[in-house]
Amino acid sequence: MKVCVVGNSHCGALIEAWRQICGSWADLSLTFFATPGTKIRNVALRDGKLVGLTDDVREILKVTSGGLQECDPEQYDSFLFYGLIKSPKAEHTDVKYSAAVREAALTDRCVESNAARLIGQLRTVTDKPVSVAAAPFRVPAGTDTASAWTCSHEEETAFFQRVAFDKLSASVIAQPKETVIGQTRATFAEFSTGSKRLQVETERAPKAHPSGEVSHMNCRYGEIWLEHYLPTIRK
Amino acid sequence: MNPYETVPPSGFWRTAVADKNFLDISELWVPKFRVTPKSMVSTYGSCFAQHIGNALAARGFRWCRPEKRPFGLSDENAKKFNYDVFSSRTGNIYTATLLLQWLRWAFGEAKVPEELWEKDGRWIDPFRPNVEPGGFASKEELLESRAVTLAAFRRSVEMADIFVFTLGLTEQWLNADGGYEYPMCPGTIAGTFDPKVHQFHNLNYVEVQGALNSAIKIMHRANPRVKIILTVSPVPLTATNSGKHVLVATMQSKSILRAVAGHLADRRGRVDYFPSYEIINSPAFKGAFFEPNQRNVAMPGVRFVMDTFFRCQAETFGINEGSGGASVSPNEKQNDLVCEEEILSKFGGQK
Repeated sequence: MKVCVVGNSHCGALIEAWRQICGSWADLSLTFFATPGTKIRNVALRDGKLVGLTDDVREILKVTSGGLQECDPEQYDSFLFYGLIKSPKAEHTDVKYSAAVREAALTDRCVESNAARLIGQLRTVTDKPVSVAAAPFRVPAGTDTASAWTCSHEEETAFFQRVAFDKLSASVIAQPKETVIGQTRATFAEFSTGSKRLQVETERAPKAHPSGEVSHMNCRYGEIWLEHYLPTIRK
Repeated sequence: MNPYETVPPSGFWRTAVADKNFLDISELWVPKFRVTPKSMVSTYGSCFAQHIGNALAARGFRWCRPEKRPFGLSDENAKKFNYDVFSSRTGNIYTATLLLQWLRWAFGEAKVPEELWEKDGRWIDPFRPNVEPGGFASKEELLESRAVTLAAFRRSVEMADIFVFTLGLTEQWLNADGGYEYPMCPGTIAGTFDPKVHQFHNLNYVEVQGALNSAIKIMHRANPRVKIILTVSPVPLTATNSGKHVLVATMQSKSILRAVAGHLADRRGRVDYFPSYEIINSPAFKGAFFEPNQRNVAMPGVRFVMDTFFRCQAETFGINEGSGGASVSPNEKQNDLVCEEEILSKFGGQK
């Protein structure tokens, strides 16, 4: 089964992890089309293919995909859109907001995401299975503590599914429970230690993030995430 | 030699107004104090006040907003739920007496009345009837939300270097039994009008002045460094309950507000008056800044007002730019404003 992963810099952890565990998933192949920062805005469907709209994005897609400049949906059996829904900071909380405001904020996060935009475009050319996952929760910075939310991450994921992705026939994948601190929207600090940047140049190995990185996760996190996700596509 | 011989050109109608294209009329304001990009500015008031906060933010100035929208909420929904409309989610504060009421509640000088409105199982805050368009899910949710706003309102006074308040109306609706004021007449946006309880009053000069003086006193007690800029909304009344023609009622209200604002600015060192009212309403500007309904201010007018604000600051104190460059947010439109009072127009129908 061939899986196409479209995402941003958070794919770095998955790429590194996939290299480690791919031997255990011999029937699967993963191809990554990832761009750092906000460059994913310059990825769109053109003539039935997901392509970079600028030269630099096309070059980066070529590096992350192992030589491909565009994503031809015909070539894949399943799709994953990873990291393209923004996640809150660890200190954010929804506790002091009304239910209506909370729901509006969650809906906006999904509906206005690059994930929804790209899946919407993809759905005009294929009805193959699509999964979607938000950016990993950040780890609390320094000695900060993470704030609690009114509902669990799983309930929030179900909400995302209902309000935004059912209509796109896409399945929302929750962040693995063992990586999330209680009823917060924060990841345990151990999963960001030693994280690396997304590789965007063929000759240069990905650099490590500076210490104190809170947004990007490491290879171990990527492994847990993939072990959580891959069985779902086999089904 | 007489005193008029030393009056500058801006003091003579011919040189300052008649001989100029109205877009070139300048030096309308000599600000008393500087608003720097580092100044923390809180903004409240009528609909027109929303332009000031937006313009500050668009220019990279610090618009004090202690009540933050939740993560992920879009601009459109933020407006709908009254985030980033004023410094906290008070909704429109149209009168000087309403400002005083909010200050008394926020600083513990009075208790918020217990009155709440219920409609179809949803709960509406009589003092912020439009901040949650569908109403709150429960009494508890309403009260918690109001407590958040009151705390944020208090912080916006305590943190502010500059507090900008735009006076909008003199007409108020009171609860005769409780002696408190509603921002909107009960039965318009929500609630049920009871003629025995709900009482109309049109504030006079002395009452507006008294309320503003008391409000300033509370603010200065909470934050001795805060400076106040008063403005008067140039937007005419949507409707009047005074029994007078709405145009006459508008002139009466605005004249009182303008006179009080000017008087306070003349008398108090820490109070200034910015003439947004004159810029839109003076005959010198030929009504050019109004929309065809001759009520709403068109965006070029808003831009002209806010450009005047920043230009006069720069002329008096030197370069004063924040990190932005636009006088108003490029996405801002007149219909983005949150104006509770405009709901009154529906009761006029096609009459």
